[in-house]
Amino acid sequence: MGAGTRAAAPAPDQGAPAVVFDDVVVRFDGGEPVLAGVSFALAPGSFHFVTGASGSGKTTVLKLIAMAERPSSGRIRLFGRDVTAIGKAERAPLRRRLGVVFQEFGLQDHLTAFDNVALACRAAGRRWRDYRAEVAELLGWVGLGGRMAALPAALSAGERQRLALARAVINRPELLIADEPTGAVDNALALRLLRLFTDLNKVGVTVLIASHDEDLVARSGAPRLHLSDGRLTAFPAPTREVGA
Amino acid sequence: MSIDASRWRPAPLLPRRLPGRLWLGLTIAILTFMAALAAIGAQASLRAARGWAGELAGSASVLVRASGLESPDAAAARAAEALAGVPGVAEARALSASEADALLSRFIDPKDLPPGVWTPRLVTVAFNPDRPARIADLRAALAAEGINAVVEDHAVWTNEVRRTGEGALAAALTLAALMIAAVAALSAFAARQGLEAAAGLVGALRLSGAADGFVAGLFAGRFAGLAAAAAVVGALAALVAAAAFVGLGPDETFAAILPVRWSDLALAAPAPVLAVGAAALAAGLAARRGLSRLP
Repeated sequence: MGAGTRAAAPAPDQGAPAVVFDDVVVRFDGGEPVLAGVSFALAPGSFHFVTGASGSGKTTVLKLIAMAERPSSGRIRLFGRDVTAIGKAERAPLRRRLGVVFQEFGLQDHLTAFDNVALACRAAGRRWRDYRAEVAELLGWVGLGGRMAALPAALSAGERQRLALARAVINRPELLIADEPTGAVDNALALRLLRLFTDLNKVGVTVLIASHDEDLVARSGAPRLHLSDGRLTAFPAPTREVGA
Repeated sequence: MSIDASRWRPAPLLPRRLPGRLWLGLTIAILTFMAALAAIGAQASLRAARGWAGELAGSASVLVRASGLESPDAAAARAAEALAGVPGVAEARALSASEADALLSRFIDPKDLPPGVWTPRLVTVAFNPDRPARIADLRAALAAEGINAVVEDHAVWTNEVRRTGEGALAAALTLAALMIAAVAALSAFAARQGLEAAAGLVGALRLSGAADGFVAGLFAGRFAGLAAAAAVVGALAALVAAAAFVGLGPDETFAAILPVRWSDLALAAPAPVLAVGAAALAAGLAARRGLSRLP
């Protein structure tokens, strides 16, 4: 299955930007700010990289979008909703519109590859009869069709990365965020993963990838948000089309 | 290493081995065992108290002292005759000398009594259950016949026995409730431990859009299952113990004091049900509380 055959993600609310950061500050335990007044907006269907040195705040930006952290001050909007002002009950449905691939993958060692992907469907409240064929199809698309019954420990780093990606996109997110998705794989696999991301972007998924892989960023041709010491030092105009 | 998607079924999301599950299971089994026995014991003690109170309320004892030349046996027989005529008395029977001696033998050997001192004679009076005689009428009847006697009012003891029985019931039910509460507290603690142990899974579920209720439900379900298995074992053990107690027969000392019947064994059934409910509710609430602290 190619990403192009998947149904397009639903359009974000009334054409609102997928993500808006408005003067966002994050400071842990009253220390130096991890993010110091970061502001940007990502158009729906855009593809961006977040770059910067280690500790520059890339992961924090992604965690804020995933609502896994809260800003010390400032506003964050997802699909037009101010996530800093909504209650916990409203966050869960909003998270279902996101796909998240974090650095540590978040794969469950006691679940097979198939069940790891199905986990996202179960979390979203879907019925297993409705998604099991879809899970198998998606695992085939990321090249794990023959590894569905394998536990994560039996998978290579690249396979685990693709499994995490499959889990992130199984619910057809409108926004996909990934933290160093190519950090543990070789160049060939990094390019293959990049292709998967661009395929998803082509069907309308907004993509934001945190990476320090300059070569990959350059190859993609996608614009970058560059962070330095918690400040955004570059934010080019968003583009819809990125090179594959 | 492939899977036939058409035959796939979801695997349990929580890891099979949560920390401390064996100890938790063992403790729930023991608590359920004790709670079930407490419930059975409460029913038996209440029945015993009611039985004793009923026996006491339906009868009276009259201590007859012979006077003048009248023999103790003759005085007792006359008293029984006088009492039998009182309205509300179903039967009045004078105990024989040997029966009176047998009653006293626990306290004093009749052979040790000084010469000329007789064992007091007793008349047992059984009341009509529908319209029992009044103690004052018994006293009046004896006085009318000029019989020197003391009527023991069993009602004084009836209330005491009833109160003791109700106290035993309350104590046993409180004990059972405390044990179920202990199951709940243990399950809540274990759920919090489980939540920490499964932090990676919880994070993955939440990032995938799981509501806190869904995640808490996983823990509630897991601990309900664990509690069910453990509580059934505990309740079955309690049934075996209680059945052995019933099997001793009514002549054994304990069985005579606590008259457990076969039908009482049914009271073991609510213990595992309550234990499972308490475990599920406590685990779910504890998990929800833990989740509420996450962003």
